[in-house]
Amino acid sequence: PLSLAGECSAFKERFMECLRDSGYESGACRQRAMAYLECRMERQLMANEPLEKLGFKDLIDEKSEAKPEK
Amino acid sequence: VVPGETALAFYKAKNPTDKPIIGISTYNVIPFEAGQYFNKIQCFCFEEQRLNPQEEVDMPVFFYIDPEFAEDPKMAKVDLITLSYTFFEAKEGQNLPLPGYQ
Repeated sequence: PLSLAGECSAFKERFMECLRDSGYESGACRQRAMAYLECRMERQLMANEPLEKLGFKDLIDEKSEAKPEK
Repeated sequence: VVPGETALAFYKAKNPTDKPIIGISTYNVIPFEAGQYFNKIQCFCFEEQRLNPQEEVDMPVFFYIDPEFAEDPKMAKVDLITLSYTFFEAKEGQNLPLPGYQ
């Protein structure tokens, strides 16, 4: 569904910022792409899918291996 | 974009009129032969979407290029794939005149 209230636009902006900074290298911005999709799923703006199935398995594995942050 | 890696892209749509518009979008991949390798995971297409007057929305497309693309010799020279969307206005009960019949 359309996000008419722009609930996830902050996440979108961060992603777009990354794309611009990286010279539009999609691979450099996967963390922020994932954050954007998580935002949509949390707000029912996208069907829920495990992130591993959306091509983010390596990022998820990294997250769980890293020490817990603040 | 690397074949096999999921990618996110954004389009923006605006209704510049003073009436709500209900539209459906459909997409197109160029070059034509690359289309078979284009896989969309999530998009806003095919369903009717309503845009109120002056409303502007971001439309994400989450997709990947099938890794088989890199193995296809016909695709060897293709380094640019263009995905374009066309928004059609969906009108209820529209009576289209039949060409040549009256």
